Amino acid sequence: MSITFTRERIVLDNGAARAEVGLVAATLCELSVGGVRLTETVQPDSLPPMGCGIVLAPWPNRVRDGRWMLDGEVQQLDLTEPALGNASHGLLRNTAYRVAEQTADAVTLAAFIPPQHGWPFALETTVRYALESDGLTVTHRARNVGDRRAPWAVGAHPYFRIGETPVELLSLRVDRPQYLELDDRLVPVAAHEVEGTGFDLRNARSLAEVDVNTAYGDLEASIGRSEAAWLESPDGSLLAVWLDEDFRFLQIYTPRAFPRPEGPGLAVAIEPMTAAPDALNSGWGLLHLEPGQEWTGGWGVRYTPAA
Amino acid sequence: MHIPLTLGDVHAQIDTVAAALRELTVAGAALTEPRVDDGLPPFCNGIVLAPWPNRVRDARWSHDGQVQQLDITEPARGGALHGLLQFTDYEVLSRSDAMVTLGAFIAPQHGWPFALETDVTYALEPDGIRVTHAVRNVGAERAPYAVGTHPFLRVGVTPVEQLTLTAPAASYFEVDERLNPVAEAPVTADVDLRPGRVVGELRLDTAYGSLAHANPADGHGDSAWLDAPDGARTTLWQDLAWGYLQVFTTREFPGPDGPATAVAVEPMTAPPDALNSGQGLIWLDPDAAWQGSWGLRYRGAVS
Repeated sequence: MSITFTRERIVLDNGAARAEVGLVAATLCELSVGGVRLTETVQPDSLPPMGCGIVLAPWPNRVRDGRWMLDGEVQQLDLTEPALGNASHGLLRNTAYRVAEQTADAVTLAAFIPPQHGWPFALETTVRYALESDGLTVTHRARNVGDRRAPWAVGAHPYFRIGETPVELLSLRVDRPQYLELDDRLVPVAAHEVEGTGFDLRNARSLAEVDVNTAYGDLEASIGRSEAAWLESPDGSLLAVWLDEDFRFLQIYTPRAFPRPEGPGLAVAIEPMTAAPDALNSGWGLLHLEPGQEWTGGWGVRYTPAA
Repeated sequence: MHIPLTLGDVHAQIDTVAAALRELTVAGAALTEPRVDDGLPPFCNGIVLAPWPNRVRDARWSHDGQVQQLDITEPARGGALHGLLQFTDYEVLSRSDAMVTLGAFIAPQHGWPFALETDVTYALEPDGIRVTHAVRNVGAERAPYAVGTHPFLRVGVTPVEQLTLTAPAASYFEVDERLNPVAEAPVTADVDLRPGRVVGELRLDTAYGSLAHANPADGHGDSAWLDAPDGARTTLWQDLAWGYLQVFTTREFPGPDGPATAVAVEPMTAPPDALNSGQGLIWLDPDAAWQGSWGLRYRGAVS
């Protein structure tokens, strides 16, 4: 059954770029530059398909069994992916954010994460979407308002495209030297060099030939703000995803049956993440905030039309 | 965020998370177990349970022939417990000294293909509080709805094990080992609360039905009351349309002096697992609205 409902969206427009943002999960519902669509569209009055555009906090991706350890005590999160027995994509995916600040070309949305099952911490979080002339800057903030040190990770789940070019005609490049091997529950069990494997995306490859759902990163090096992944269209138009230093991982996901009004097809999620899947257990990329401490980090997307 | 309310000698504290009743006193006497910190409310103390109270078996139910899989929020028993708002920070919609209305959107999500706007109004009265729950279906599909709340009741400083609990309920729900209801049956002696029972002798995690609301007037009536040895009484009332109560006793409620006996008396519009049994469910057509109330009042010691 299709789910439709009426719910306000925020429209941002700076004359060059345009975005629509939904309050539930602070969802980036659509983004375009010069009329060229840069993301898959969350249809009005619909749920984001396959997590399209949602914010993932205070952890992206999965926590195995919804369980992790804190100071020697087992923490049991709610199981939000019952089929695989995991806790997936944080605690805000069904939360209606509040508008904290809004202008014509930027909006800041806020959500409180209270203490709950498996998560004995209190965090104030915000997401700011700010249009640029050639794209979008997304800034995530978190402040620990509880009385104990809290782990923190954040991610986002955009699916990118370049205008109406079919996604299978785009090429993808990801400049990261390592990928995470997943088990049958889609939780990482090891990190490997991409060199010499089918996971190597450091040279552009046609998306028609890429079939992945895994995280890429560099577990050793810390890289400053820089571009990390690119989509290129046959006519030379280019979309670049840049990441701040703390966004150390990218989940690349290429579902074959992403739902669109004209029928299901290939889509590509390029998900900036500060931490690896299951980071509450592995610690990979996990940040910590002392009581009162605040963190800020961001990512963004830039579009360069064909010459 | 905490919101203090005052009306004469009646004071309450409301928490925007789960729209919880943190504290309620009349003339200095506590009607509920107070929340003492900002952690997870112990035993769900004071929270709102919507769009269903209590458990959904296996976190699964069926709608129009399709299996709906909710998130599992009670992994040890495999169920989905107490609705979808228990960790939601409500928005303050309106506020005065003695009243506050908090709103929360229930978004379509796993196992719940509906969109509901809900709000909760806490309004102080000269001898207690009136709590009104409202809901409107803003989706395009007919939606089920049920609501309950989870107050732990007291009568001032009297130790809870010394209180006498009375509830005019003629039936109760038998449960399996995972606390899912299997049958509704006439109350048996061990769970019959009609004669009045000393809380210290009760061990209950039991849903009651066939409520004969006492003193009915204006569409509501008394559904349970706690009496202290000195004659003081805390009374729970609920709309006649709220036909159910869950009573839960624990010896491990975290009190200021360590673990203590406490009793939750939870007004509900539907029994546990109503999404599967259909019992008590309110069905809302697109754009349809519903509201209902419950409350607490206090009477001091008889001198």
